Amino acid sequence: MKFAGGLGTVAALALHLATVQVAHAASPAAAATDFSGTWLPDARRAEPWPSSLPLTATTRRFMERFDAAQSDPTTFCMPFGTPRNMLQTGYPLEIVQTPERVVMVIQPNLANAEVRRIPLNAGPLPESPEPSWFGTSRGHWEGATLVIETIGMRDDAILGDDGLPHSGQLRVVERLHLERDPERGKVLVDDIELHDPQAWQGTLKTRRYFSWAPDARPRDPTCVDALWTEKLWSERLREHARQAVPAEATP
Amino acid sequence: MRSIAHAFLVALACAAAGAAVAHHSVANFDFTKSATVTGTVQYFSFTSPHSFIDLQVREADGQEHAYKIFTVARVVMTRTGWAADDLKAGDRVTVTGSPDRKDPRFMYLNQVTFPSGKVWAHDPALQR
Amino acid sequence: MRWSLLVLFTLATAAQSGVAAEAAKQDFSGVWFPDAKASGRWPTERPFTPAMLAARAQWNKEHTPIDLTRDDENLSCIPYTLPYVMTTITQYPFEIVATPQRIHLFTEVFGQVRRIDLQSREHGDQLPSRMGQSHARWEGTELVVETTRILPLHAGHRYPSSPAQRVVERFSVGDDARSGRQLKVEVTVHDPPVYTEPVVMRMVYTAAPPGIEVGEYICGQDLWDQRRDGSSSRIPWR
Repeated sequence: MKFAGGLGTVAALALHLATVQVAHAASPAAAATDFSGTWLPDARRAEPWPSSLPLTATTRRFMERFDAAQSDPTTFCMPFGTPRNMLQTGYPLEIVQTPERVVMVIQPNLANAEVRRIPLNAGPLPESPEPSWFGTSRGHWEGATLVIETIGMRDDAILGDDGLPHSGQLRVVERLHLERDPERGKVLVDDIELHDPQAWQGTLKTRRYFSWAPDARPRDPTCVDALWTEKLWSERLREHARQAVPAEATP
Repeated sequence: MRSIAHAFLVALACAAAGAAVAHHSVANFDFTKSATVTGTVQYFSFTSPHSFIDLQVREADGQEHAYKIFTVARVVMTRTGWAADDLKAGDRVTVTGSPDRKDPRFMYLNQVTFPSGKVWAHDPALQR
Repeated sequence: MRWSLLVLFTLATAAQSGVAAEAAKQDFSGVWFPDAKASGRWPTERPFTPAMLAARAQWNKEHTPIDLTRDDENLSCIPYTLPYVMTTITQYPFEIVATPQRIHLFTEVFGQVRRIDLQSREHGDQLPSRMGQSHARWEGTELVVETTRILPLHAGHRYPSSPAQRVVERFSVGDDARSGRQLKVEVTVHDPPVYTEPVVMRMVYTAAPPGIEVGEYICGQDLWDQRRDGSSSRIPWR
């Protein structure tokens, strides 16, 4: 009886495991390379641009006259946009990966979350997509590397705090892969190439590293609240100025 | 496919049985009134949260007056059939809308006829 | 006796896994538009507590009248807070991207992100935020989402809330004969300092046609565009 009972327990366990396995098989199979999760950009390893970039005369003039208070969209809580949202080193990058798409989410302290939607194996990029902050992208796997091509980025976005601009012709090619670093653990590496014959000659290349940070959570942005408070205060100050009465004469 | 999608979105838009809480208050417009004007586009702001058109309109007195035509966000417009090149400065258009309670030259857009003859309409009862 | 227990145990676990498999098939992914006709609304007479009614009366006394054409927080691009983000009826869709660990919900208006954890149970020590902290569990084919740590809104706000607010949402998908694929979310707001009883709203969303994606809606872009255009045309609502 005990032996039969033992066999029964094993059988029950086996059946339980089998049904659990079936349940898991019903969910989408995980990709061989999975970038899903939250990543923190590693500022120390962010490759700076070379000191002398092959800029066109138009770009040089723009940068000489660049005043962030006037021409940096982020001063007005406007987005970083693509690819500045991948070049920046201040805010986490979250990747949501499904077999059909990769979605990248960057939440800086600006008006909007920056959501890049990258369809995989979805055919060629459209000819002239409507310019947008986050661009129009297509992705495909080359082995364990995700290759993303992006066009259609607004030409009033810039590439960095120094005001490096780009035209509407900008084409960005990224190659993302994972590395295992003995100190940092899982690391996502993004090799970024920028093509824009109107803005510079040749290809600008750089690399960004992102460390696995599953507990990192973005915070609510305060940029817009700050702008609103500023507006309310400046209106209130104007009102006070209008209502200001002259000091009473001493009796 | 595109026309089916457009029809769906227009139908969805028209299905709203009275607005719930507005994203932006449009209490300043009198939706019981409607006016139609024809004019020349001076400036077209195609953006969010709201687009608008600066229109120069010749009124019955023979004088040209500046009108401002207020409408929804760019994403909604493009989703309901407004193409990026439908309207630009210099175009002559006919606009039907509801006037502001205080300033009749400030209107909420209901319908616009482009130079091409194409018509774009938006139900003002919808969520703004 | 032992055999019958074992059989019962096996059947129970098989049934549970079967339910889990069934639940896993409930895929909320897609782009969803609010269905104004089918969705509920906040009750016109909300069941405020006497203390909240008094606080609101005091606030109105001190601050009204307010000219909403000039002083509207959403016009000033202050984004939504839960539960309003799920109970507002607009022409703006949201997108749900579901993976086994987490459900993401991306709103078009204000570009906000909700993260609903399906596996983690830890609450951490996060500060209150507009979207709060959400955890979910399956109940049959319904996903039950509980959200706490939502940023409280003051008594004079259209939708006041306390730090004790807890929002429970029941998500389900189905097919409607007329509207096609539908997402239903039953929203229950528990907030004893504000409401004497839970407030329930049943929201209905319709799947977007293929090819329709959540667009870029950056509130405040009108100011940036005008500045860039160097236009002298004044934005009327600012």
